[in-house]
Amino acid sequence: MQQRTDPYNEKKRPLTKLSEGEGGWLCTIETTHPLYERLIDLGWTRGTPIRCELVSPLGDPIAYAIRGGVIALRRQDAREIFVNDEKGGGNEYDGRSERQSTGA
Amino acid sequence: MNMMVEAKDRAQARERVIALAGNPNVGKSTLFNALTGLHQHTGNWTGKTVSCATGHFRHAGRRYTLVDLPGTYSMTPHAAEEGQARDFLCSGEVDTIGVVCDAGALERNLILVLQLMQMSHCPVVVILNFQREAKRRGVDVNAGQLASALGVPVVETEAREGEGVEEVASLLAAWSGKALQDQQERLLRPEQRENTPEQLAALATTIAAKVSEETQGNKRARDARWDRLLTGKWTGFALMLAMLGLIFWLTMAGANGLSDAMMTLFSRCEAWLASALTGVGAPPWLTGALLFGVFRTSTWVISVMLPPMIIFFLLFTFLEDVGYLPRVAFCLDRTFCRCHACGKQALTMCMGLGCNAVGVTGCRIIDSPRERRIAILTNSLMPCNGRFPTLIALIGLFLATGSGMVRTLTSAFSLTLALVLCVAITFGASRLLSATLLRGEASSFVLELPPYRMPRVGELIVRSVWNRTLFVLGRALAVAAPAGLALWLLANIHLGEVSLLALIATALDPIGRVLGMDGVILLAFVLSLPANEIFIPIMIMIYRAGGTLEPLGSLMGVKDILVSQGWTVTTAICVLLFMLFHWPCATTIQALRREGGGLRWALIGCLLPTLIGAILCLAVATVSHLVGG
Repeated sequence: MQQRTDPYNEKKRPLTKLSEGEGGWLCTIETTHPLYERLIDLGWTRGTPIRCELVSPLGDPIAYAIRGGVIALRRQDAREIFVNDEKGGGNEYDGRSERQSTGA
Repeated sequence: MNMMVEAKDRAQARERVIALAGNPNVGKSTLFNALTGLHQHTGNWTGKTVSCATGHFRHAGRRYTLVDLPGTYSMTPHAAEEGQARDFLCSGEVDTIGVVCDAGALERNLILVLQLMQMSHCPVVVILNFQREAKRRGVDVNAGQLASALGVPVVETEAREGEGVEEVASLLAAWSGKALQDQQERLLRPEQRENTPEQLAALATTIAAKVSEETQGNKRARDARWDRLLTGKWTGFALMLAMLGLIFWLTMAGANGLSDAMMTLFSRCEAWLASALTGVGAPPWLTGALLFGVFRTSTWVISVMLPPMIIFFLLFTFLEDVGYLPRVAFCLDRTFCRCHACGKQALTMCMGLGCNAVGVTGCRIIDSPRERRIAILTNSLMPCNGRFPTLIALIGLFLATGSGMVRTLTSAFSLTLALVLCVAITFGASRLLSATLLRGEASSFVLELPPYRMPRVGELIVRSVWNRTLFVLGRALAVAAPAGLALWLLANIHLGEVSLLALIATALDPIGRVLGMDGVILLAFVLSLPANEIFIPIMIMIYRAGGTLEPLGSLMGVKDILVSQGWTVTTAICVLLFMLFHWPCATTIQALRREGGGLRWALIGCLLPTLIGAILCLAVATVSHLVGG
C-alpha cells in the first residue's frame, strides 16, 4: 500500500502494541508480499476495524477479531501491520463508481 | 486434485454441473453431505475439505452433479492452490455456482461472493447458513435485502439441522438451466471493469453493513470463555494433555474387547472354511497357503487395526469438527516456529498417533509446501495405534516393576517417557530437515479460529469411519493378503531341515546383534510391513519355528519364549526403540509417495526414522556391552 505523508499515517502503531481486548482501525500492511496478498484476500484493508482477541500461552501467535471472524498471526508478521486509533477516511464503495473515496 | 467432471457424467445427456464454493468453516461440507447423502466419493482422504469431492443429487426427476470445491477465502490469481478451482469455474463446465456464506461473518464471506460474481460466466446463487447462530451472536442478516443488494438469489439454510436443504436443491437446479444473462440485476459481471481486491473488500463492508442489524446477542461471549479456558497459560496445556490421555485410555479400553471378539469370530470362520476346503478335496498346501497364510494374516490385521482406529478417529474427528484443534495449533505454534515448521504440525502429529497414513494425508492442512513436507516426513516418528499394543506389552513384560498400583504407574510412566522422546525427536528431525533438505524461509502463517459448533453425529461417523478408518483398512488389506501368502510360503518351504524364514533370520543375525536385537526380531520388523500390529505374532512364529501365526494365549507365556531365546532388558529396550523409530508401514509408504511428491520423498520418509532407530539402538547396545558385558 502507498505510504503518504498524511496525518492518518503518522499516528499509526503496530498490531503487536494492541493489548488483549484493545481495538483500532487498520492503517497499512508492510509485510512480505505473499502475506500481504493473503491478508487483502481476507479483507484486511485500510479502515477495517480490528481487535486483539487472544494471545497464545507461549506468547506467539496472536489472534485478532476482524470482519466477523478470528484470525491468528505470528508476532513477526503482526509487527509489520499498523493500526490507527481513529477510523480515518471513509471506506465506502458502492461498486459502480471508478474511485474509492478515502479521506485524510 | 482432479477437477474434471468424469466423462460418464457428461455422457448422460449433458448432466448439469453445480459447483459449491465458500470460505472454510461455513458448513459447506455439511450442506454437500446433506444434498448428496452417500452418493459421493472423496477419492482421497480428507484431513479437512482440502481435496475435491464430487457427488450427485436428484431433483424433480433429474440428476445433477455437485462439486464441493475446497474451502477458500479467495479466488484471486495469486493464490496458487486455488488456481485449479479458478480454472475449473471459468472453464465453461460449470452451470451454476452456489456460494455458502456464514451469516455471522458476512463481511468477509462476501469478498468471495463478489469475486465469483466478477469472474464467472454462469449464474451465481448465495446460500446463507448459520442464521440462527448469527442472531445469537448479535447479527441479524436480512436475506431479502442481501438479494437486492447483490442482484442474485439468496436462499437461507441451517445445514446442520437439515433445514432449507430442499430449497437449496431446487434453487440450484433451477438456475443450472439458466445463463448469466438471466441475472440482469447482478451487481458485478465479468464484462465490467475488474475491481481491485481493496475495492471488493470495501464493497463487502458496505453491503454487509446495509443488510445486517445488531441484535441482543453478544458477539463472542461464549466462544471467548471457552478460548480463555482452552488457551490459558496453565489450563490450556493441562487440558490438552488431559484430552490426549483420555483419548488414549478410551481407545485402549474400548478396543481390547472388540479386537478379541473379532478374532474369535474370524477363527470360527477359518475353521469352517478349513473343513469346507478339505471337504471338497483341496490339497493341504492350498488350504495352508489360502487359509493359514492369506486369510489368517488378513483377518488378524483387521481385528487388531480396526477397533482402536474407529474409536480414536471418532474422538479425534469430534475435536476437529467442534473447532478445538485450531486452538491446539494456536497454542503450540511457537515451538514449531523455532524448528522452522508450522503449528498445524501438532495436529498432524496427533493424527499420526491414530494412524500414520492418516497423519501424512492430513498434512494437507499445512499451507506452505516446505512445512507440509517436513510434517509428512516426520509423521512416522509418532507411534501409531498399531504400535501401542506392542509397546505396552513389552513395557509390561520387561520394564514394569513391582505389582498392583506400582506396576501400573511404572508402565504409564515408561509409556509417557516414550511419547516425550518421540515428540522431542520429531522437533529435532524437523529442525534438521529445515536446515538441510528442506531449507527455506518461514512462510506466512495465517490461522482461523472458527466458532465452536457441535458436530452432527451422522456426519461425524461418515467422516471418521468411512473416510478415514475404512479407507486405511482397505489399503492395509491389499498389502496384508499377499504378505500373508509370502509369510506362509517362507515359513513352510524348507531347504533341508530349516525353513526359508529361519535361514533369512540367521542371515540377518549379525546386523541384529549389533543393534542389540537378533535376526529374528529384525526379520519380524521387515515382515510386519503390512501392519505393525502383527510384529509380535510373527516374531513368536519364527521363534517357535511354526508354520503360521498362532494366537498368543497368555502374555506370560510370551515372556517365557522370549527369555528362552536370550532376551534381556537391553533387548527389550532396543526393540522398543526400534519399534518407535523404524520404516513406516506399507499404507503409510503409499501415502508418503502420494503426498510427499514421489518415490524419492517416500524413500527419505523411510530412511529418516530407520536411521534414527538404528543409531539409538546402536548406542544403547554398545553402552550395555561396555557396562554389563
